[in-house]
Amino acid sequence: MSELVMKVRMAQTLEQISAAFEDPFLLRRWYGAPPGCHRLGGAGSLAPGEAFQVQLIDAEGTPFTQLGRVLSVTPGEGFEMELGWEGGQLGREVTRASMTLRAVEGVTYLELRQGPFSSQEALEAHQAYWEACLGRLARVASGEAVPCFEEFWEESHGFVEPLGMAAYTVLAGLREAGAAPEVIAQVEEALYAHLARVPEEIAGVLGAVLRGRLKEAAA
Amino acid sequence: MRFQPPWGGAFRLQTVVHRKPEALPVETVEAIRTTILGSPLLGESNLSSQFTGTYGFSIAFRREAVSQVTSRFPAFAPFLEAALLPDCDAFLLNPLLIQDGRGVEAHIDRSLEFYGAGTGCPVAVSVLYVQVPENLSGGELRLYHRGKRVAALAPMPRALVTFRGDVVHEVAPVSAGAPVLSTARISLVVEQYRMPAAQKAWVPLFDVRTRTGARA
Repeated sequence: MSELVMKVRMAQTLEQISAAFEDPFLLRRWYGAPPGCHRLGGAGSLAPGEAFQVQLIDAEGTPFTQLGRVLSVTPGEGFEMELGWEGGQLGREVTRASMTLRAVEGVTYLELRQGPFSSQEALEAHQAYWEACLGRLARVASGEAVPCFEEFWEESHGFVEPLGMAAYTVLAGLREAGAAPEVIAQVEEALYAHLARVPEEIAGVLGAVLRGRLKEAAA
Repeated sequence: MRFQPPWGGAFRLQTVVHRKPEALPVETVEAIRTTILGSPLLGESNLSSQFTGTYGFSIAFRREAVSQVTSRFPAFAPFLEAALLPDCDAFLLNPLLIQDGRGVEAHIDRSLEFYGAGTGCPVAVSVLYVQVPENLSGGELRLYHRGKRVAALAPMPRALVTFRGDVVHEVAPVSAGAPVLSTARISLVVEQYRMPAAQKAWVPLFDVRTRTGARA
């Protein structure tokens, strides 16, 4: 039996860190996904005593879920919660985690404790998990728009079928690369005008090629 | 299936909202107002916690049940005719009444998740401003995309606003001008979804819900 203890100095103020916890649209940018995985969405409540779930996928696209329950919250100072997993690579045991925050001269000291773990492997997997989450937390608290799977997922919902998804990926990629709005508009115009004229049979074959290539890449 | 323009052809990647002023005639909007205020279904909102303190009721329906909706609520027919996107197939319609001191906190609409997890956000959300008190203060619709505010729309009588379903939005608190329900800021909202067949099966053909659980 062992306990994970992490003490991290964060360059951001306590107010910045607290905002990244309290704003659900900031929270989803950093909380939940282990290294190489992505957060699909969250459900439930973060009120003390209530259960919450975070839906995730691993690098191969296999879904798994984090199951949790906030046990207590001390505003501006930290919280305690219960955590477990359904699927994924972080084990099955339910543990208790506490996080305390302390402001010192414009920076924030964060202490995380979690356990008990029945194996060193589980402890190390959770250490990697928290390192990934807290790394993103620091960036989000600094105001960085950390790439968020949920945000792109929701935006891509407006597009359908493989050709639509391919068009979305190109357009969003251009935008994220900093292309000028008028350039994106021109590319968009060309894509929508011409792709709409692709015969259905060819669209079907191109869709099959795209699916096949994506499966091949994942494998 | 052939390539389809995204968001039902209504939006481009960098466009998140459209507003059409005076989208419906005065008498049509007045009939909608009378229907909402006179409905026995009207009560505290049954939507998510962000709507606490507002009033309304909700109607979930699939495309094939539009005639049932308009048969039950004939006054809403012109709104649905004007607002529904052609390639959306499931909808959540709700009157929203906001009085002084109330607003709607930031959220993304996912109201159909009531019927099944994983339905996600709508393709688009359309809002008709049914009643905007003359001396209304506050009540602005604010839209955010990837953390940045992309629009702030003061309510305009009879305007039809359609915004992308993936944007975070809020209604700023009404600070004055709507002291009682009959003078509230009133809008009629429809969340427009496009769903895979398996998920659409969870959505009832036509379901009216209130906070107290009344269904019809």
